[in-house]
Amino acid sequence: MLKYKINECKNVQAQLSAYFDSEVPTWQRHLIRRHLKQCPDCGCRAKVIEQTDKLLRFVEPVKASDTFLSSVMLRATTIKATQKTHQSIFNRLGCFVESLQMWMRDNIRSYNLVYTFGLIFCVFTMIGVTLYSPRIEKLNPFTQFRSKSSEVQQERLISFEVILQEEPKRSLKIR
Amino acid sequence: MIVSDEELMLECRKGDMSAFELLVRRYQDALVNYIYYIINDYHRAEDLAQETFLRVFKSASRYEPKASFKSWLYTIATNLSKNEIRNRVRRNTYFLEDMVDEGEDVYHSEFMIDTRYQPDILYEKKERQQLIKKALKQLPENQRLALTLVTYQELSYEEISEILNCSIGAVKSLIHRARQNMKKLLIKAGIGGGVNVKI
Ligand SMILES: [Zn+2]
Repeated sequence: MLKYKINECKNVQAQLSAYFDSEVPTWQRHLIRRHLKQCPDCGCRAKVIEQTDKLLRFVEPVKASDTFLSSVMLRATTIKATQKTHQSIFNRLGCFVESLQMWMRDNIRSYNLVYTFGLIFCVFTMIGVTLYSPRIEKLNPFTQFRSKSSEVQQERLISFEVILQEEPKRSLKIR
Repeated sequence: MIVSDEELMLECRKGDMSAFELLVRRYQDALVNYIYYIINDYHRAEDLAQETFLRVFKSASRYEPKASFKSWLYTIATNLSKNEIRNRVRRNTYFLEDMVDEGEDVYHSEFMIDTRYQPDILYEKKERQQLIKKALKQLPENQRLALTLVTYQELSYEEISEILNCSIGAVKSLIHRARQNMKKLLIKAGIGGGVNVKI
């Protein structure tokens, strides 16, 4: 009997918080209520939950400032305007692609041929890029700072340019 | 007749700004309050609440009324708040603010007016509020979120499970543990005596 009671208490105590928040089914609610009336220990635990909740609600809530709404609406209006501009750009682009497709359909007899050529071109470009890839050092400005040799080379190039820009002295002798 | 949040959101999807304004009016206080309880900084709470509403507005065009609007709104706010806490912990400013909780007087002006002739009561009330807030802050993140959502936002367990992305059973145990820990922390802080039960 005592073991049964302990088990029942355990079950009820595990459900107490949910019972307090009205998150248990009706049949269980009745059982818990009946148990709480009979069991002082569980009744006391229920009171603890109630008291904790009361204390938590003692903290006064804060409110949004007076300018909050206007600020949100202003920012939302700006976003809406930006979205509209973007939409119009995409619409224009879509119209252009559509008209291009129409033109292709009207002017080129076999439409598939264009796709085939396009595809071949893309494949060859990719192969070309893979085989003869451009030097990364040339493309990336930061890599130039890493190697001193490239710096020296650059300086040489600059000095070479300076020399080239000098006027030829031979022109004086012509007279 | 009260228009539901979902209906307002559908109007907003069509580009109706007044529908969006109504939604902001409906949730601004609750949302600022919720974020404030999590991050404990009023100005940042306002910023994050604004950001939440703007995210809702930006994705209005893709909105489908599958889940409740409220859950969606609080999910965004929760994620933003979690990020804020993570960033602050990284910058080591979160725990520092624990000690110095400033700006309280400004945001409880009504409370100030009510009790301005009873400075002792005011002090007691304020101190008690501080202690409760501090205790709340000491809870593990998920427990604090669940407890805040159920106590101050009065959301159902189902809604909380959607927001925290876990099962209803997990929410049940989170709230249960949160209340148990809260009681311990409040007793430790010197409030919440009265009923003493071994938990
Ligand atoms: Zn019992």
